[in-house]
Amino acid sequence: MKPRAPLLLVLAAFLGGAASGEAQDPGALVEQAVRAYGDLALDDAAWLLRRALNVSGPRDLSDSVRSQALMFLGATEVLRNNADSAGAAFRRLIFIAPRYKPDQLIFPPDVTAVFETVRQQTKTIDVEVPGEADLRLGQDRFSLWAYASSPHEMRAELTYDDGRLARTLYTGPIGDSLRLQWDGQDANGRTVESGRFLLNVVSRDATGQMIRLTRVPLDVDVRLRDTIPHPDAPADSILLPESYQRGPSLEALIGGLAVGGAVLLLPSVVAPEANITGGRFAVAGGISIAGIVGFVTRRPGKPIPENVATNQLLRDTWRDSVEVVTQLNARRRQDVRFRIRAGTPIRIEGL
Amino acid sequence: MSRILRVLLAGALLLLTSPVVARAQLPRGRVSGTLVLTRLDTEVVPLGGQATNESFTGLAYGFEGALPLWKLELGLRYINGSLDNGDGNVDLDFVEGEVFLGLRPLPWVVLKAGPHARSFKTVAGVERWLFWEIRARAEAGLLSPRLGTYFEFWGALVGDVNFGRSFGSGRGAEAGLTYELGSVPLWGRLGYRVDRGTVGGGSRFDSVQEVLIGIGYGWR
Repeated sequence: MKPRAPLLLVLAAFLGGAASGEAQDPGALVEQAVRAYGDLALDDAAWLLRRALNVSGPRDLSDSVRSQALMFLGATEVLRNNADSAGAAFRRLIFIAPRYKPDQLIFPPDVTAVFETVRQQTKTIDVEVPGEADLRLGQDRFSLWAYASSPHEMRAELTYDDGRLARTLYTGPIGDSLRLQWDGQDANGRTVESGRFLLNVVSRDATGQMIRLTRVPLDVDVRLRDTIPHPDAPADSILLPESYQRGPSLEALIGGLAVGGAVLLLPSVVAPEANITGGRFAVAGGISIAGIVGFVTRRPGKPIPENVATNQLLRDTWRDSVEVVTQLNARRRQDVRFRIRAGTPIRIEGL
Repeated sequence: MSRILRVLLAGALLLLTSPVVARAQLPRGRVSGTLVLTRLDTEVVPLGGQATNESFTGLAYGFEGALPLWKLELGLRYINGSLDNGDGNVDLDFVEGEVFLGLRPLPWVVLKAGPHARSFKTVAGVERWLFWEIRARAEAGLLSPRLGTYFEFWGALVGDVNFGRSFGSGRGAEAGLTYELGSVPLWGRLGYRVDRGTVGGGSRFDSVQEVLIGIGYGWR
């Protein structure tokens, strides 16, 4: 009874697939294959798994289900003594999931031994990149993890979208895992500009030949803080004249002498019959002397210390403001922020 | 002046000139105390007779004030004193007052109009003059904005006298120097003023000359 059950299962799957065509769910096929594997209907399991793994398009298996399917396919082939097929399935699995560990409770030691052998022979790296990261230049680093299937030589580099090298992140051996970091600068120490970058993680064989590449597209958005415009220098219109002009000094002289003379003449004009007092001479003299002193002290070209000091204060204040703004802008220029969005990794084999 | 009054005046002056008060937002009015060296010349010309002249000199004191209101300005002046003819035989108590409403069309020009009264009290009675005058005053800086000069002249449109004759004419002028301390709202003034009134078709001329020394308070 028991040997007939997988046959019936395969028949049912075949008939179901024939009836529904491409509508057969590959996930369901994997489940059926696992049950067949448990029932040791290995041929049925292998057939179902291959069928599930061959589905492509929107109904394609997820990486985890695909890994499970490949593991069971490899185990099935080991049990069927198809070492090459088993190795091929395990290589495909390791290439998808370098860190995959077969469940010791499900798979017998001879299967896990073969898997481990293949794993040691297969050199590939899985890259774990945060989907989105906000970083500040000089303070934060963009961190990612590289997980190797087995120890080997590797190289991690960032290239521009056109393939030019932007920065080599690491070259050397990798054991189990390695943390890689990027500070947002290119190979020359300059902050990169916004754009698309490609993170290329290359596995090399013992001879140094590139054998596999994992490529992750990174969209980098560099955000510089706006700088503050420098304050305008004091306009000529608000600066005081720093030396006396001809006009005010002459006005002082002419005004003083005119008013002083007017004081002398006032009595004879206003009250000609009055006895003129001498007191007006003091007033007239005072006004005239003030006018003359005004002319001498404000002669054209003579510096006006108060205005020079006031203008100097204005200029010093302006220079201080410029210096403060310069310092603020320097700080703002250093405050560069990155937003990095990682795309879907692409794995290229057989370079 | 009593001792108490002098102490109060000194205290008020100290308070008003203190930096705290100086920085406060005070109205931009000004007031000054004025010491006036006064000379009065009176010439009487009787009808068909020989002119006689009398001169009186003396010291008067008083105050002046002005309160600017936008472009208008309200002015006040009051002085009194005692004059004599030099030999001590005749004394005159002299009182003079003015009230003016001014308009400042330009920062350095003031046009004013108002009454100007003057009286002399003698043993024979009180002689009063009343002039309704219009005035023009110009101000300008000399040595700096703080040291300035001014010139003011006026004429009487109408007038009145109380000593039996009809009013004739009146005119006058004043010029002087002003100096503001700047740090505190104190300023000083040295001026000369001459004023002439006539009555009765030239039967009497009164000329008053004044040398004015004033100390004022308030921003100009």
